[in-house]
Amino acid sequence: MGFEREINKTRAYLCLECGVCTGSCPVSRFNPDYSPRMVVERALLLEEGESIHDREIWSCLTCGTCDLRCPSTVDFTGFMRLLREKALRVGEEGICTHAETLSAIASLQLLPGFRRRASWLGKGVKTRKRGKVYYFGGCLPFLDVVFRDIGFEGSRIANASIRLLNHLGIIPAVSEYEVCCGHDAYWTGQTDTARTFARKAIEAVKATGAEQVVFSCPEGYRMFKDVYPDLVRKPGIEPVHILTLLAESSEKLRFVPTPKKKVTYQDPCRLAKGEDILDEPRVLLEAVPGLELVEMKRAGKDSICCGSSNWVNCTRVNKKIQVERLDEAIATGADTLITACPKCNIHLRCALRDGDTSGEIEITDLITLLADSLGGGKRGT
Amino acid sequence: MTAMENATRDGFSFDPGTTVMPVKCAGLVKVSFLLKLFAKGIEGVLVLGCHEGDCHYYNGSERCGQIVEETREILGLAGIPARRLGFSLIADSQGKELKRAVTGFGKQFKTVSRKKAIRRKSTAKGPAKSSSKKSTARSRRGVRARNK
Ligand code: SF4
Ligand code: SF4
Repeated sequence: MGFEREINKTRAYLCLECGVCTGSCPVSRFNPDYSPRMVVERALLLEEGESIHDREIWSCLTCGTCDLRCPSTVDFTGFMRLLREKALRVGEEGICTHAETLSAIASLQLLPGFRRRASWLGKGVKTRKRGKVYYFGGCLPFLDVVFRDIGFEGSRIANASIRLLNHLGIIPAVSEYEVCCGHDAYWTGQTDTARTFARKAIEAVKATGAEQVVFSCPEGYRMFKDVYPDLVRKPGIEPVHILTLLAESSEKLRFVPTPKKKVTYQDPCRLAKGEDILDEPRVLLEAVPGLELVEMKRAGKDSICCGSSNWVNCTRVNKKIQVERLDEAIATGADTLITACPKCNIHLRCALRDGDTSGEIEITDLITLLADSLGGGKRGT
Repeated sequence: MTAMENATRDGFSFDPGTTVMPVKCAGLVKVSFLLKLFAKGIEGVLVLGCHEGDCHYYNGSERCGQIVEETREILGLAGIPARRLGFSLIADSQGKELKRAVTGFGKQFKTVSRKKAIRRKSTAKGPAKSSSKKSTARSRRGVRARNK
């Protein structure tokens, strides 16, 4: 068998060919050429030295729906990642979205002596160079430049996170030596690159003397929490997602009433399916007076991915997934769709702008909304 | 005849540390392409395009200007001085202009490196280290040019 290591590592040998994965997969729904079941089957039949040669292996969103539903507990996303790792070795790769800008930004961060500017920090926020709590903003300021045309404001999310932490009495450390968490490199099979990012990121955070690292990005959080221990070592720093932190101390948060609004919430795959962070965002939304939360038909662990991931393979199929999801949000009657992942925000904004949806809906980031609803706090930045 | 040919006919030659990368139209230059050059350790990139309004494909030079701006912003966030990415629009007949743009951009580099070297020397406590020698070495520059 050509894929023995991958099959053993991800328990793909347990596959029953039941097809639950394909039935659950948002990509298979719109792309008949893509079937996770078939990917597993074909890999099982390959001989030593053979490669899978299938461009569809880059279509998987790594959303994890199949992982959750597989009766044989096959780690399909892990399997896909290893297949990609193998494909890269024979010179096959996914088609990068946004003319590769995002992966180029990541590669800049591997330059020796890389030191980012903290120019994105707003005036009202308090940070420090060293401290017990670190705030990991990740790529947010960079995303600002690339997605300004669709109205995405990454730095605002980062500043809002720090404002919320400040509100809880925490002045987080930030570092100019912080690098990309390596999420996209990892999921596109560039394991060595991801490892380098992991080492650098851990080093940057550790250098500030932090014992806890707070994330506003679901992907960075998941990397630190679940991937780094396997990839390099246990970071030795406790990763915590800001929504958990906020929900735990929700009695300390004083939200001012906002104009009456119906909102619906898009669960990010990395938080909902990967980390069970399901109640926290809902508790927080309900804590803001004036907001009424209505759920989409598929919510929580059953929610649908925002339709594109790791900045590869964004096709008509991905647009269809996004439009369907937006229509689902619009059907709830909500005025605003709340996202908690910068990528969900970007992808859904992009699809909304195309105008193929059944109506209009506003898209707002949860953390920005919470920070803007704080009593006495400054708005904007 | 292109500005490049004009300039070379007049006896202009590029600094040996320079690589010229012709592209079909300045508007085809991508942010990722420029960023990747920096990620490879190239010290500076000068993007040259046709005069605004002269574009064979309608708005290549304008588009290129936007791309350079966007790239500069990203470089700035990544702690790489935006001036390391140059941008000039030069018409076919302006061989001299091209020469001026290229040498001007290059000089700015050497000055930067020399300044750094001086600063390093003056702050060094002991005898000059070998590292200061490295910083006075000529900067590696990538120059990309496009003219019809
Ligand atoms: S759901 Fe699991 S067992 Fe069923 S076909 Fe997919 S991988 Fe195989
Ligand atoms: S991870 Fe998501 S996109 Fe990939 S095969 Fe599973 S359900 Fe489909």
